[in-house]
Amino acid sequence: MIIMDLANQQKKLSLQPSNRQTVVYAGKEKSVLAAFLLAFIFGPIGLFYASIRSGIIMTLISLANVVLIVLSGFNLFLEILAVIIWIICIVKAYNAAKATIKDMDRRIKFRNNESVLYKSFIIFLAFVITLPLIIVLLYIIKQGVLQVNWHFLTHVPAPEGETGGGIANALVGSLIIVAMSSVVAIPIGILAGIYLSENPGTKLAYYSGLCVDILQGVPSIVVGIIIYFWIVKPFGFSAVSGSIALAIMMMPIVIRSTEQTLLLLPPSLKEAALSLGVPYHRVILKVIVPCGFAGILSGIILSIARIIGETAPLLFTALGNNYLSANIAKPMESLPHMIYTYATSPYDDQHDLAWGASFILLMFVLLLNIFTKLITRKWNIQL
Amino acid sequence: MKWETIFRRILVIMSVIMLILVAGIFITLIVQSMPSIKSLGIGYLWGKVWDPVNNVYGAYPFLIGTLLTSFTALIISVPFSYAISIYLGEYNPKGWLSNLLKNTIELIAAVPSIIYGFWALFILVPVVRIFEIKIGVAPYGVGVCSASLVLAVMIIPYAASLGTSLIRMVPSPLKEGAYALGATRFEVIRRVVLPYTRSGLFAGILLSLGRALGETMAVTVLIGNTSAIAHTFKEVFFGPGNTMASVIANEFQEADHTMYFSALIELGLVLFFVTVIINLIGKRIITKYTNN
Repeated sequence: MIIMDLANQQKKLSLQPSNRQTVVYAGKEKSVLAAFLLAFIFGPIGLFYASIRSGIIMTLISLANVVLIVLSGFNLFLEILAVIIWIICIVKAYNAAKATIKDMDRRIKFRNNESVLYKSFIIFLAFVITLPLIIVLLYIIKQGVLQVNWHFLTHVPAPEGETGGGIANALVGSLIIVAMSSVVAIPIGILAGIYLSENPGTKLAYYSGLCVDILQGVPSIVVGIIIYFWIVKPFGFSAVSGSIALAIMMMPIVIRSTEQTLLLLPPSLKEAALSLGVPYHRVILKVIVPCGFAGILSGIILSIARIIGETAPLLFTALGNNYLSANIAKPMESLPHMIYTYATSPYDDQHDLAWGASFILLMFVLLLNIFTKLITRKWNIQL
Repeated sequence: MKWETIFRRILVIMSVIMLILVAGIFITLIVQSMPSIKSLGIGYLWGKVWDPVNNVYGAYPFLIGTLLTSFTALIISVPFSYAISIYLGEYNPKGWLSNLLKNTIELIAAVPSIIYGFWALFILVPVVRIFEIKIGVAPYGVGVCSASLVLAVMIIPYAASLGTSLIRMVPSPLKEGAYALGATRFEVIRRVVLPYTRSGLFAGILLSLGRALGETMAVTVLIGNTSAIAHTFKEVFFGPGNTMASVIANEFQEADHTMYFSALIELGLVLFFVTVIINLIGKRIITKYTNN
């Protein structure tokens, strides 16, 4: 069991030799009264109760005393007194040491408990926050899955107050708008990302990177306002304006993922291609981009997942449309915008449509996210 | 011209587009809000009355609404994002359970904000209403309280994922040294890991705050949309309000004269400024931290 060195403790006890260590075993404290009685009755043998070493020494002294008596008749009368004083001193020192150890034990136990308690607290907090998400997901699925059928997917919403109808206009609209914004954002994003990773030290790269950071933090509603002035005011509400608003939100994500992926590629790839006399643009397009393709692709998918649920930039741009429309110069409905208008309407039928639309939107987002996960896992990319 | 040169030029142009975009956003906001800046001046920010009908504009109610929702959400979310960072960064950095938790947290960020708003409007608001009846305030249900609760959940992933990667970067000799001195796990985290990552975790909180300030749709659905300002704190906290983003979303299309319009855009300008500054400070701290 625990054997502790308590030299400090002993220095306080004047009767104890200061260079000795008190050896303390786990177990109960020793009783002073018992020590006194044992020493009184058994003499030196009783000292074994206090410590084996003192017992041996005292027994040897007693034997010496017996020898002394036999040989010379001289008796050490004070021996029993010495035994009693010694045993009490040893037991007291032992108990003091024991108390300190108990105190330290308590301290260690406290620290251990504190550590365990903290860990359970952290685990509790970390996992309890997944509850709201699970509740939201389950509720949307429960409410939405009942709405979804072929009719729901292929019809436009019924007029207010009537049952039935579907979300075909929003579904088609969302796909068109997101496709158009991808067409705008992906080439710009990838090329700007290539520039940032290829010229990391330049001034332009620094300020461009700064602007990407700024764009990433711009509130989505502000993007809506800006596009309203740039495109809607001169040309009127249209699906194109909504796409461009979403493209602005999409670009920073594509740029950053492209940049980060390309920075991870070993420079020897580029150097090898260049040393073979391949022109710069072919090196980038045929060697560097294909090598980082998985990372770039997952960034693109992630950005699509991010913008497909954006509502605020579409409020003043693509507006909304109750009818199925593929005219990109006219207002167009989208899933998040439809959810917003129907969620705040007073009709239960429209709420049902909104639950269905939420379910479809959620499934899109989840699938895109899972897809990204699979890509990043397969190619082992860190985003 | 050689293809190579053309390609290089295209790359430069693409990154210049970023500069143009940001400059364009900034200039457009300033130009369009010029009428209100000129006529209302700086007093616009603490004007307490927002009354478009009588052409009186003051942004104070929205500033208060934005700050109150964001900071309440932040205060609620910080313990959770700390806990997630510490759990994923220190206690359980690998394995299926930590992967599961990590993906779940990322999913929180992936769910569109309008879906949170919609769900909360039908599920959370009635619960809040019951609570409000219990504590004896007017049972609106919608308002700052509901909005902050939803916002708190929505902003957790931003601080948590950053915190996780920063805590994983703490050099293990530091931790091992502390363990060798007999420190418990808790003491290592409190005395070594957290002090080492303090500025990084702070940056994560700043990024979360930037998100909370700019978040529009969930808040617009839940905040209740009143421009009047309540008097007691209880009324402000549990009653309906408005944030800068939500008032833009609600009133932008109703704005029928220049002043109203440019007052709204000035709100957008303020929002843009604040979020950009907060984001840049956060990013700066992170780069400084990761370079060291």
